Amino acid sequence: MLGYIAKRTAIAVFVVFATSALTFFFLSLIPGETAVTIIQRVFVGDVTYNPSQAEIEATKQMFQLGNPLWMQYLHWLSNALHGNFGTSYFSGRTVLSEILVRLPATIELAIAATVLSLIVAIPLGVISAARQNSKVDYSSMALATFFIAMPNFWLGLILILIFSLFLDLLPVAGYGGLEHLILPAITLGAGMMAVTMRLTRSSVLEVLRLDYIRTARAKGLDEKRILYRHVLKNAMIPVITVAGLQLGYLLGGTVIVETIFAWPGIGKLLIDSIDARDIAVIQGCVVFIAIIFSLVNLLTDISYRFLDPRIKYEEV
Amino acid sequence: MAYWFKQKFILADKLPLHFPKQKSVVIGSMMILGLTCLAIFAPHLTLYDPVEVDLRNNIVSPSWEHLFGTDNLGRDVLTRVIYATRIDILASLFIVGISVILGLFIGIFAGYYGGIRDKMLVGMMDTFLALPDIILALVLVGALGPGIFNAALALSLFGWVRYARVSRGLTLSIKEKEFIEATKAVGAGDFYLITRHIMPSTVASISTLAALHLGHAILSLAALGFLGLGAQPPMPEWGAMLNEGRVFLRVGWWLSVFPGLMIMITVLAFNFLGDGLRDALDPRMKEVMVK
Repeated sequence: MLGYIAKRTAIAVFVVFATSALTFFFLSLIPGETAVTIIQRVFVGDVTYNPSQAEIEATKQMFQLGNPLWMQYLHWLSNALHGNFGTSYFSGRTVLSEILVRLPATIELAIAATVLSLIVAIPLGVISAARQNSKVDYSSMALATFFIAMPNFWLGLILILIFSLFLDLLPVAGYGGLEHLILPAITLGAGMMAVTMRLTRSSVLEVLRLDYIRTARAKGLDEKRILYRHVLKNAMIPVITVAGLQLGYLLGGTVIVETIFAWPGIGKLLIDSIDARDIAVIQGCVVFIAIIFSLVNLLTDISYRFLDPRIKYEEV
Repeated sequence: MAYWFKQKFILADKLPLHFPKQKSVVIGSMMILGLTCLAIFAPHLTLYDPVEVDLRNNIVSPSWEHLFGTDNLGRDVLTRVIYATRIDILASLFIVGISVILGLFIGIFAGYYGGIRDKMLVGMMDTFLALPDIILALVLVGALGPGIFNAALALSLFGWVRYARVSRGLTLSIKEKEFIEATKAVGAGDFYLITRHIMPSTVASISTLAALHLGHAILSLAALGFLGLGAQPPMPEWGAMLNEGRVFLRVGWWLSVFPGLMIMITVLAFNFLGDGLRDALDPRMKEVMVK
């Protein structure tokens, strides 16, 4: 088990490094000379400023821009490993402090969305399976089909339209109390809810067909007891795995949801810094998102093995 | 047609082919046919120009003259939504096309030649699967500069992995079959074996993956458009239209409602087709698809 955890952890760490290297490479593709951009934006604060050759050379020296890309990356990496992710071109604050200020809002949103989607999805999925081909089953599966096809940016706008503009119940955007959290959490969680609901249903249906359930029925146990005590435990194993994977995808969704609702999280920071070409902040945001993403995947993987002891660790 | 399909593509395992019986395949195909007609005949179906600005008629609510209303620049929303069908469907076909070609090439290469090359490619596939791909695509488009082509390119770069995994697996299992051995004994080369025997056998699985990927590609493309990184104005694209209309949510709900509705209908169509194909052609695919 320990060996398995160590191996998985190594893979997760590797993924974070790979992501940071890819991001570094992508950001080097930005057209225009980086040194000129830095002079214009950081030193002068005027994008029309035309720097002299000497100024460009000095800046290149200072930021080590003359070196080959891989050396620049290693330079960044060694700084990052010491906790120094550079400074934002715009705010002048360190990237780390920018990100740490924003991180709690994103985590709050992601947790709220996950909890919300699981609270709706698991009971509906179980009921659908228990009453297969009933009205409840058909309508919740139709609902899931629609939510899977629905773009979350559109759902967000529609929710604002209905609950904020027509009914005037909830705030249009912003960060604050519970009333600010409801719409973004629904928007972010809807897709995950749909996938989890479908999976819960098929998983419960699969377990209901197994022999030990027939035995339980033959023993004379009532359906409710069978469902809650015997079926759910086994049916939840694949659901938890997929919920974990979905949580990773949810992080991608935060970029959109935070943009719509002006939610001050790391996704909004990422989009704003992409717009502003604030390279150090982009790099930092992606690394932090990759860390959370890999951590969630790792925890999901490990908990999956814990929940299902039939799986041998060596096999993977 | 069905007979030809059966003859052509189903080799060793006689998979049951009964998709006319699959209701969702029929519904999905009909919807896709309708959308294709919209895309092809867009100029004949619309009364207005999709990009021409008419400031006297800006933000007119839906009426008989403008069924879906007009936008902030006085352009007919129905016209733009119909023209956007062209761009969205073509761009997602591009994404899926590139991904399929890339994935098949890498997957078959890895599976067919095996050895250290296979190990390295599998390692690459596993890494790509574990990457936060949406975020990386976002950064790539941001670096290359916003635009529909760059957006499609970035999404293709992260779309090939599943095709590679599936085609590698199929190649591995087909490679061991006796008829391949026989064909080799007759003197067939690698190219002949790959194009005549291995590639046809992947058609069922790859087309299922592709149908589902098309829906996903439209969602991702529109998401990039919505973030201002995809199609640029005045190009009519659903995501970009939503981005432009979002500012006017308070005064013109129709700017935000109709483009999103079209995205949903299109994604539903491809999902119906994909789910149906999966159930008809390859029930085992379910396990592969769940990630």
